[in-house]
Amino acid sequence: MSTPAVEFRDIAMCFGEKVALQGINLSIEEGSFVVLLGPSGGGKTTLLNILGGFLAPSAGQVLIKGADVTCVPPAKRPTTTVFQDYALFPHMSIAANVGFGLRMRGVPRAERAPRVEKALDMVGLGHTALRRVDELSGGQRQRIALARALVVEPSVLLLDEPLGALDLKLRRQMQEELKAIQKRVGTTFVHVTHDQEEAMAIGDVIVVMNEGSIEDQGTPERIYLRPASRFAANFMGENNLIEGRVTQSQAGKVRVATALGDFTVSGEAQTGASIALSLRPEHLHPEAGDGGLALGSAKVIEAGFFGTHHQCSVVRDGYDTVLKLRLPQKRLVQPGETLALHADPADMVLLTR
Amino acid sequence: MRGPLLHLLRSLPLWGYVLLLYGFIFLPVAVLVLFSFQDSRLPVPPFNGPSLRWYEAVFSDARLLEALANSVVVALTSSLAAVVLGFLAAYALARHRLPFSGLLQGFLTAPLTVSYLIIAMGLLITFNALGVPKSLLTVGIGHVVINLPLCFAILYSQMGDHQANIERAARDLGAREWQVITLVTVPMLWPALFASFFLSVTFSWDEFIIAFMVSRFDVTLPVEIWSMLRSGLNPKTNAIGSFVFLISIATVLVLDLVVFRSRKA
Repeated sequence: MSTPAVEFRDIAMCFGEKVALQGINLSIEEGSFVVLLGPSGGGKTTLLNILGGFLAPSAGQVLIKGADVTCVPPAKRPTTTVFQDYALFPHMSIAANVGFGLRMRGVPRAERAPRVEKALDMVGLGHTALRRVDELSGGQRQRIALARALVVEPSVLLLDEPLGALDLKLRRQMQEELKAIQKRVGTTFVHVTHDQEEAMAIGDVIVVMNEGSIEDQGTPERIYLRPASRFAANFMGENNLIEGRVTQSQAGKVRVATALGDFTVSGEAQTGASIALSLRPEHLHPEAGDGGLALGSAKVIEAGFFGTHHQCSVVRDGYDTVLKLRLPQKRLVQPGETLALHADPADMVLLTR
Repeated sequence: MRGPLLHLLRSLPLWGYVLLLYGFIFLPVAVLVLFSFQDSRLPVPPFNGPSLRWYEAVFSDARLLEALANSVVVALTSSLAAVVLGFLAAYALARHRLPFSGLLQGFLTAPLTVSYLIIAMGLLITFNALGVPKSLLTVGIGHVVINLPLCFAILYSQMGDHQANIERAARDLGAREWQVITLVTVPMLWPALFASFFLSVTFSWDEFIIAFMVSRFDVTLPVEIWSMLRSGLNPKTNAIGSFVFLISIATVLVLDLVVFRSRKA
């Protein structure tokens, strides 16, 4: 196995009494697009700042391409950052902004110009080289910040919620562009966001963080379909968590008793353990279908049309937790209507954490 | 047709008030300037002129011209010192965690609340105790004392989190500390540096009480004007007063143009 682009070893970070990070062990593969996903205060930005050299961890080591950089200042690290507020130099032209990193590295002026031009063309803003920062729109500034950080060819590019200030449509468009640029340059990207849709859209690997630790890490598909913890299951997309207890356990199968019935699902857990089953709204169906088990009938209390589907909140008799489910686009539904519920135990994910 | 007329009538009190207000502020200055063009020996009505004889007298008075040069030197050097010291203090307090930073900040801005008379007396006593002879240097030091808090306050207010992040970006791109300051912090704060320098210049240019108390043989223009006034009113004092006013206005205008233009761009 090759040396990972980034390695965190037992990172802990305290601000006074407050523990911001603990027990962080994470390897990031060369050339991958990694998204640190979590709520505000989850520790993802702190981890990014430790990687960028803006914070020194209270304990642990940071390695970039196998070299220990824990005590190396930002200027000397092979990392650059795209900041949330872009942090462009307001007194410089666009070209001077993009060329700043090269200038600091002592690249002669004649050599800088073509590289700046290439970087600006990459983000589609070659024509803005002589303009001032305040003549550009938010989306354009964002791209300049990206060009400025990439032109010095860092080993790792850090992105601190770079799309947070953009409106939704522009954000989705920039996500695609970011992904395309990353594929083209092949640089390792570490991107921080609290938007799970953004994380799924752009990440090769998602690292879900909460309260200073890593809850789950893996491909978007893996985390969405087989989340490792209650937190990851809830944070990544809509979900129903059904609390229950293990009644039987054998060779990778467990029998679980819940208020919605007894199910046999794959996984490992000790008999008697309190667990939860994750069941995505799109896996609850009004018809039996293949392998569907009947879960009884439920009354619709709320329904909304989301374009691709209808999202409903339903309450099943004898189970007072509200369940969310999705109905097909053309299936009309009214509050008050009674639906039969069916689900395939194969779609249920056993959560022990 | 009644509409516009009524509107005019209604706005009359407003215009009257505006005229009164500006008259109250500017009439004394206007009278001063007017009688600097007086053709007789006393700056009192009736006005007979205009004449430039008193301006001629001002610009052929060696003592006045020397005081004028002294004022320019003191204003420029003391303002430069106040801006540099204010910038360094603001940078330290805005960018580094210092022990007792709240207290330090309080002490830096406190002189703003102390009257110039008290500062002048304090300086006089201190200079006497230290055996520092009274000169233009001591006047300059006095002007740094009054202008430093102002420069500090203006510059400190312009060094927020956004600016700190821009400096962080420079470090991230490989800039060393001196490069961050010279290539990013100072150019980025240019309008604020410029504004504090020119405000300091105008304050130093007009300042009388400190300049009066801590100077001896070489004096600044306000002190020279004061000694002229002791021998009674004279259109020549009006002429030099108008000149001082013109320089102040010009400085404020330059300041306004430069800062306003950079804000707009």
